[in-house]
Amino acid sequence: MYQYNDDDQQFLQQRCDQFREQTRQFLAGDLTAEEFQQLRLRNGLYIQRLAPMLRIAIPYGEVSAKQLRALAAITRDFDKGYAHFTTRQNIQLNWPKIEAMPDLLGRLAEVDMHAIQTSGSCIRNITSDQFAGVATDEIADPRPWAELLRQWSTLHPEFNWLPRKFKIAVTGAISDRAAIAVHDIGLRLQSDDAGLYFEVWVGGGLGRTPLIGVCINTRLEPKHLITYLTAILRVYNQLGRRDNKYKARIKILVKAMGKLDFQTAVNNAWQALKDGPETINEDSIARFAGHFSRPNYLALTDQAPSRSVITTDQPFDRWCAQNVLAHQQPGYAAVHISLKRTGIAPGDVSDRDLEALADLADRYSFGEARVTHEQNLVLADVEQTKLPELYKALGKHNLDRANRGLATDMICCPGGDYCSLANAKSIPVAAAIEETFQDAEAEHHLGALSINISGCMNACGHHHVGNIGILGVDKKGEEFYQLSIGGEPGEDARIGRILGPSVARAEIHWVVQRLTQCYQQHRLTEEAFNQTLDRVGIEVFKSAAYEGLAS
Amino acid sequence: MKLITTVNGYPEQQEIDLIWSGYDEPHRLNDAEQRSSAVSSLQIEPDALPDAFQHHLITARLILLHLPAFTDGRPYSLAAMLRQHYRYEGEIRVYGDVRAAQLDHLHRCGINSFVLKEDQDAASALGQIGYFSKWYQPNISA
Repeated sequence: MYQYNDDDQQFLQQRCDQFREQTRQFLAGDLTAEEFQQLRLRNGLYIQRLAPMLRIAIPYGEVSAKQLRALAAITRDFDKGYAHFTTRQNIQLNWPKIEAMPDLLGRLAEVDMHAIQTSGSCIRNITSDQFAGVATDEIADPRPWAELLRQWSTLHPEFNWLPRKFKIAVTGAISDRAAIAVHDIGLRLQSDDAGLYFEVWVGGGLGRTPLIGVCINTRLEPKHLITYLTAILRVYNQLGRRDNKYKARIKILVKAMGKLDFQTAVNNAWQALKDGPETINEDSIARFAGHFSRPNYLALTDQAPSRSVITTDQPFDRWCAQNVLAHQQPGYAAVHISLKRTGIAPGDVSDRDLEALADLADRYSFGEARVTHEQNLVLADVEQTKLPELYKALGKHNLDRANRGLATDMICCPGGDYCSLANAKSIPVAAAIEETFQDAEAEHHLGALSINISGCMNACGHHHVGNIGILGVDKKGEEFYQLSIGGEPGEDARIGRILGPSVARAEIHWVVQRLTQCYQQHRLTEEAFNQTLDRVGIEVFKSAAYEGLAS
Repeated sequence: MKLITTVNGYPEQQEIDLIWSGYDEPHRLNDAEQRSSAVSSLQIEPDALPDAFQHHLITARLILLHLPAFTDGRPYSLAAMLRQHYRYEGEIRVYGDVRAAQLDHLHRCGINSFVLKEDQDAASALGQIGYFSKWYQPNISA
């Protein structure tokens, strides 16, 4: 994990001091609300429906036990004792007070954390694969590059006032768990005989206009990463639309210019930068890589062969089959911890949960945990022989649910319960759907299925890339939900297709249930939801979904 | 570095030979002047692209960049390109919605002259420059 040095800490301290002064000026009436808004956004602070919301950055999802404990204490001291993990690997507090913000940020800085650029029209938190460094399908560890980009993008003087927010994701594995195709810039590490390189994808995104990105560079030498990204951002900063915020993302520019013209513009801008001072030298690549060296693994051997088929109804075996993943290091496993629990909003954790997780990270996984963009956690380096006791310990804290990738592992934004942008609530919808899957046996039989819920078209709940996507809409003051099916976030990314008319809140979970029944009825052996959909066609699902529904 | 305070946040117009925007034809303030005459000061609207006016950069000594709103990032990239791409070494002056809190970033993009918005405090603006002891990016020198 990246360790802050004196310069990093000083920088963070100065940033805190700066914001303390800005807050003082605002509260004294010396800084306009309009200007303070932009300054506070770049420090993660939104004004929400009921209270301010603070989004704290967890760079590429890596968090230490010490940081988890600090977060727990902060939720107690500044909030209501709970927090929410987001779809961008961050964590949010729902009830902080503006006046307390400088102190809160100071407390975060004590454990090398901050909320810089977690909102505003600038480069946001860099996201990555939660199994970076341990995944068996990994080509190269993306974290050194993600950290390099984190530093480069932090208070970048040229790119603090972009037309709109800007999200970068990096993956280094065959299976794309970072959803790079739906990011403003998606980077995929690849390797061939000549060494490591990046594929550079641009112009993907969800929101009002969901689009899959296009690859504008199929082989970028890693040393050019910063200069090439600077060129992309420079073109976007100059040419991106500023007249309409709904058309301001880079995806709209790439689409309007076309891939070739955009590529040409980037290459032209790059000529002035290529091989210049920001070219990454071997030393700094090695230095960044050094921060992510392998922990002190014991020399162990793999235990039982990995179980991919559920052969028994024993809860531990089921949990192993569903939530435990293979590891690069013999004798170790990566453990997925579900934050999708009955009666608790998806991704929410209490202060006690955070402390329990910190203890478990210390005891079983070298003091580190990872946040996933599906709003779950991972202990990445667990000895296989310790899995039974870890499972038992997780059970004590209601963190042992074996539902990774299953129907109840829903992605869900905070929605109308908290967010002032939302058109409809999303948490109660997740709860209603979850209630229809109370039979774990039936859920396992149904198998892999992603249900993603967003309370508005900003799509924080990634509804476009869910096998079943649910979007909250407002119909004359009433909450309705539009359904789309066939979405996919990974290496075969695609946007779901709208199924038909939106349905009322009271009906939505039944419609979802009918869709899953339709899938089960029509699927062939081992066929995933989208494969069945592609084979039988959307009309079959449509008529199943709306059967008997009052229109 | 130069800090200019004016009554309305806009510089005196006489200083400018040529105004360049992205859409309109370049607009000469002094019609009597010959088109071929050397331009020593240029006013650049944020939608202009440097390629279009680069032939003036040889004679230009002063480039005024218009910041129409403090949230508009285009002049930052324009300045950076003028320095990095076109090797322009003269004065780059930003005017418009220039606020104290932004001076540091503007400065780090190669802008070396600032027309502060009327209600901004000059001392606090200057205090922003060099506020951070270290940055994660190299600065573009003026």
